[in-house]
Amino acid sequence: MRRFDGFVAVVDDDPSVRRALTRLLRSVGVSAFGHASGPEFLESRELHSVDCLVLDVHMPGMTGLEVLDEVRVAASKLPVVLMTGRYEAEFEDRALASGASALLRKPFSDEVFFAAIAEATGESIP
Amino acid sequence: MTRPFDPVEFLEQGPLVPFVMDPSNEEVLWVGPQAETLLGYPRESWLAVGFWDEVVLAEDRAEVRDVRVRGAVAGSGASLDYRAHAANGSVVWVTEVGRVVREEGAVRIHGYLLDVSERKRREVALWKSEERIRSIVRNAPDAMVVTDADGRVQDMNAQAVSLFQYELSEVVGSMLDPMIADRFREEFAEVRGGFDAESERRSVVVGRAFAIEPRDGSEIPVELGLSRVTAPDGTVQLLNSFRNLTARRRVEAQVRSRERRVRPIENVFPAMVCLVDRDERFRFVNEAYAAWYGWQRHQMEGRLVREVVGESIYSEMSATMAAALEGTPSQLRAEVIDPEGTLRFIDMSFVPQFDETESVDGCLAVFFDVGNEVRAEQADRLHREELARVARVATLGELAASIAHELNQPLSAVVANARAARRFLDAAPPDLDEVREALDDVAQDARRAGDVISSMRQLLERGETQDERVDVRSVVLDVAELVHSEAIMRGVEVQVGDYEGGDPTTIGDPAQLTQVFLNLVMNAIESTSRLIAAPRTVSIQFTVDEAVVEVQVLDNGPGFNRDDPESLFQPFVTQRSDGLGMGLTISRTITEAHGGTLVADHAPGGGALLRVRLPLTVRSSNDPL
Repeated sequence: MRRFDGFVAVVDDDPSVRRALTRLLRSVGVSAFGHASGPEFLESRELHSVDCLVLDVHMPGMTGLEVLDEVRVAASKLPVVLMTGRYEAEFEDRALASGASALLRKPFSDEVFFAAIAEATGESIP
Repeated sequence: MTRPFDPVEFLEQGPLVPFVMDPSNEEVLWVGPQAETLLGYPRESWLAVGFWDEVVLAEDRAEVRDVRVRGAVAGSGASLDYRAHAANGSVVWVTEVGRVVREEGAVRIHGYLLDVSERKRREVALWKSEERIRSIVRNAPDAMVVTDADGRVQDMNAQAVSLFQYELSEVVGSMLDPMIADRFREEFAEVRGGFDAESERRSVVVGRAFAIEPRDGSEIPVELGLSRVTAPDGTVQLLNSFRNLTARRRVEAQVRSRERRVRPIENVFPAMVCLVDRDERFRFVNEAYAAWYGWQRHQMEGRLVREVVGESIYSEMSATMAAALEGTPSQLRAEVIDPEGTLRFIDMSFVPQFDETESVDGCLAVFFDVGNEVRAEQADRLHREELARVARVATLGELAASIAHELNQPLSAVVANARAARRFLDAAPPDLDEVREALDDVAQDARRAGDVISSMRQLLERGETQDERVDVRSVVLDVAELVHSEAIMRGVEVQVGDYEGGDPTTIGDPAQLTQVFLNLVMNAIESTSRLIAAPRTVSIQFTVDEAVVEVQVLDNGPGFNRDDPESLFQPFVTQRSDGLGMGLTISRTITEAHGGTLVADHAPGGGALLRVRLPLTVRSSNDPL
């Protein structure tokens, strides 16, 4: 598997999570940028240049699933990894039905995180 | 046939002692034979020079000489009374009657002496007894009227003048009876007559209740005293004393009515009742009160309160009783140890009692043993606290998923940061700046997780209501944090406004206050989340005014479908699909227990507006910062 060489957008309203995940990706040499909300990400136009989108489901305003719908409209092939801090069972089905590759449950380990991105993009990390 | 009067025989043998005297030098020139019987000196000694100087009592001498001389000069003679020393040392009263006679150019007194000692003694006794009576009458505190045996007024004192409204001169010589109230006159006459009939046997009547009729025609209740005085000469006088009962009647009526009121109370309630006078002595105690101390009622009445109840109970009640004795009704609830050593809760009420001059003459004290009530209240409070805690737990249960989420956020950040830091350390070269930043974030995030856990723990803890400084703003922010995830999940935006004011500190229980705001904010979130479309908002605003902070929780949901917002606070009323329905009831109870208020209103936009007002404490300069 080819090594992942692109950059990742992390969209989560929680600043701690945002910083941590972007740092974690940096620590394995992957470029990553954080966004506090769906609209912020969509307006940034990174949509077309990002290689993987890590997207939190529970956000105020536009939820992760709504962002995903928007993304699918604009770039149907963008690999998306959803993450959530809540454990309601219903999300998993919806998440996968909407075209996400995986739904990660917080807290997750770095291995799980990297594996999910690898799965979504078809490229390995680190 | 009677013998004719023989003057010589009379002079020589009669009771009179004849004498002839030279008034210029008071020399006795001749004295009859009876002289010896009169004073006990032999006849001859009378003729000695200076006899009178020796014999007449020193105090009387000057007057005697004076009268004699004047009589002689006037030519009419004189009669006078004086005292003389008898030979046996006694004192004899002598009456001297003399006439002036001129013989051969010389002036002489021809007269006689008579022993009047007996008469004089009777006179003095009479005078003394009259003086005594006069003195009694003058100085008596009551009104006194002296009458003769038939009831004619002879004398009255100033108090009688004022009571009957007549001057002595107006009534002296008249009967006293018309001044007695009509319906008592007959009885009065009877009582007086009783003296005559029973003479010595009944000389004093005391304490009969009568009424008199003074000049203005009114009626005054009096207590009559009648005593009989027999003068030395046998005349009978009656001392009539009249004590005005008006004031006493009023006081008696007051006491009777007070005791009438108190006595039924003592038979119905198990209260301890007593009357205490100004000197803190028991004037009256009821059975229950005496029984509490294990005393007899009569043993307690008249004793000092302090003496009966003991120092420790006295020290609890003395200030409150003193306030009542100053005229202020007062009460307190005290914990006292009873004579058996048991702790009791006693509600004490002290009610001042006033006499007819409106000054305090004591107080009525009522004591209730409220141990049962206190225990019930304590049990009640424990129940309420437990119920509040149950509600908190239930709320937390509802929030479990949200709270888990709130913990997951920092936890996942910690995991990621820790792993990242490790990789940066292992890199060649190690990127220590990144490591440092990562570790700083770890510390911060862990703290954040800890805060959420301790908020929860506080809400779950079973404990007594605390009484500490609570930062209201900080409580609201904590609640916003707790519900953050829930709000996001439901698509609700929670805004907390700025706090403009001083120190937002109140005194109270932080867990309970957190519970109140948690309840209100959750209700708001629930409500607005029912809206089909955004925006769904909950807004929390602070206003500060003087020493009160008002927190408004406003949502733009459908509002409550009741006309009367107050009905929301009834227990088991809920608009939520889940929950116990106790939230608002408990929230209001807690708010009010903190000295505040909680009210609900329809919000202008159609939603609900809940307003919490809490008293702010002012930080004193003594408080440690």
